[in-house]
Amino acid sequence: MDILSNVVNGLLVSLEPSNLFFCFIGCLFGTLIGVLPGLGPLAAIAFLLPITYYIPVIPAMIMLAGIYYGAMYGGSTTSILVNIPGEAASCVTCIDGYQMARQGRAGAALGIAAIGSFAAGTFGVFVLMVLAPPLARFSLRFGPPEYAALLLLALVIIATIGSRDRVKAFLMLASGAALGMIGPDPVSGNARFSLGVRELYDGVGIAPLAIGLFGVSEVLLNAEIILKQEVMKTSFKDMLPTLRDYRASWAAIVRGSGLGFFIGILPGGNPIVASFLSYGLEKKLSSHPERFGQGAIEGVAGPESANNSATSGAFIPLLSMGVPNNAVMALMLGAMMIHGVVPGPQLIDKTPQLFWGVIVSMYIGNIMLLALNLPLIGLWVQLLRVPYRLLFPVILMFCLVGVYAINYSIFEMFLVVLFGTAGYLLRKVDFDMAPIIMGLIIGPMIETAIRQSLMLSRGSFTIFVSRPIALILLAVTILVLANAFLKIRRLNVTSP
Amino acid sequence: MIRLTNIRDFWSGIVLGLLGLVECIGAFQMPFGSLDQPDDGFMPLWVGAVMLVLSALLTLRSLGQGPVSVTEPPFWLESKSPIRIACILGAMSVYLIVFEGIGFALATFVLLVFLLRTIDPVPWRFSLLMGLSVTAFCVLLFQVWLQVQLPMGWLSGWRMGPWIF
Repeated sequence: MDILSNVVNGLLVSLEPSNLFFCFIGCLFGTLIGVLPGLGPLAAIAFLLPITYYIPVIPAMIMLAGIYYGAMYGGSTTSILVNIPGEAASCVTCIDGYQMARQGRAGAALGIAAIGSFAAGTFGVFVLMVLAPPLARFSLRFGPPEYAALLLLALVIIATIGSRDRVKAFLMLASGAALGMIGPDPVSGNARFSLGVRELYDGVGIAPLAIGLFGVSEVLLNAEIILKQEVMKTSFKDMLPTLRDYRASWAAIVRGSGLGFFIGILPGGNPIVASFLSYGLEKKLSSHPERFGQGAIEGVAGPESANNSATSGAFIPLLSMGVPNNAVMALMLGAMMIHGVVPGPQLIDKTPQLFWGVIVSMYIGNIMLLALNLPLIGLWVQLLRVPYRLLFPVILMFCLVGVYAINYSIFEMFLVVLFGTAGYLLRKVDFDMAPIIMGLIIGPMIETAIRQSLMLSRGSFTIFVSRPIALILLAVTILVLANAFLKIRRLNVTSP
Repeated sequence: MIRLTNIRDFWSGIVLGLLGLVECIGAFQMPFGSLDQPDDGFMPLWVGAVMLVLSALLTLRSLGQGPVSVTEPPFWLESKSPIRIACILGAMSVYLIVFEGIGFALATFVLLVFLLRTIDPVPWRFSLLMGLSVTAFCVLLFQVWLQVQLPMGWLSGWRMGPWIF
């Protein structure tokens, strides 16, 4: 009953005209970003972060969430029609989706991707409503030592799960944390590493770093080569899958939704991991695994459902515990902090309009996305034909002006260029950028938690092992860390 | 004989190690405090130390007895890639330098036209038209809708007319 009344309140909030408008803008922009190859939700959220400074926190969060799950919907269009993933989580959809398109079944592939995404998104939002409040109540038991251990675990899992090279991922996390040390000390307030630069007294902003690392570096990488792409033809007429298609894919949608949500909750779990695992699962469970790679509709339905469900799952640790489990959530956390909202156990009680409004808007957004993706497919196909040479100058200009709009600072615009160049070079030498953002945001949070814990225990590290929750979290952290470095050692030994 | 097997990792390790060293040196210049009252330099020292250890690991890993890695793609994907990157970075830097002086609208228009004409050239007429329309859209979005005070520069004496404001 309590949940029901909260959902009704959330519905009232999300149906306010301005919130509906920003939900639509988020979904539209997210789909656009998903459709266009070379721009992911991270870059898009970084890109729109400055605009959120000018609108209230609820529509801002509704819009950013819309971009995230909208990109998952849109990504499948490019994967199926062009064989280039619109965004990373749709990589696996290329395998069978493009084969279906080549066999003249692009409409069915796009249709099942949209319907699967809708079903999974709905499932994800429903479970989010049920799970987040009790988890938030549980996390009220967390003090500084528990938070320090939890954040440490999140960082370690992020570096070990999502990356190909763990040493590089940890190095990027540490670099991000080092950047996070610039600015005021969280306890004394003294400026650190500001080198006498007035603009650095408040630290390195999330927006210049995120826009530089994800926006500018992406443009630089894409500008190196001139992309020519061939787009498969399709129309709304043949968008609806047949009864046989539904029969073949409903189980994959159910499994993908469940698996994706579970992966989404885990620290470091992201839609990319979810979609790959779902594809593997479907192939394993299929009585005809040889069809995978030849245009199996389950190979589209499962991963597309999983990546959408994972986006909903990712909101649970952020909204209920204040812990972002991937870089997109870290940016959302940053956006909330900019508005003075601290996500965590108190969020549901203190700002229920925000919590329930955002969650219910995700459901409304899913309906909007279904409408955007099925009848408007022709528009997205036309957009795919817009050459990148026309898009990139506009993206670059928005990156720079967007950052200027936050603090009216030319210095921060220079930071965008600096971080963009650094990000470009680092990505060229196979470093992943997401851990830097995680380090920048979580690093200072860990510092505060560790220092408060040490002050509480009068300098004794036993506080981290004398409290059961902290002890369990630390033990898991050590296990994950040990496993990661054993793997690195094994790789070093076996490689010539 | 020990030789470099991965040049990119080697130099990445060296550069990031130097940054870690700078972090450690900076931390040493701040009060460290004690364990029961950790001060400004406490955490930066740990972070710097972790960076040093990890970058040393990366550098050492790039040294081995095998042949130089041949699986790496070339650093530049096309022969014109470095010129394109230099053009974009140069244009952005000039844009920042002149942004407040000549004003947002003019600087943005010039930046857009320059990028459209140089990286993968678009016809002049289309470049000018697109530069003009995107600049106008930005003025409407940032100055009119979001009320951002963008520098007007050379156009500061020119009123944009009641049709906009």
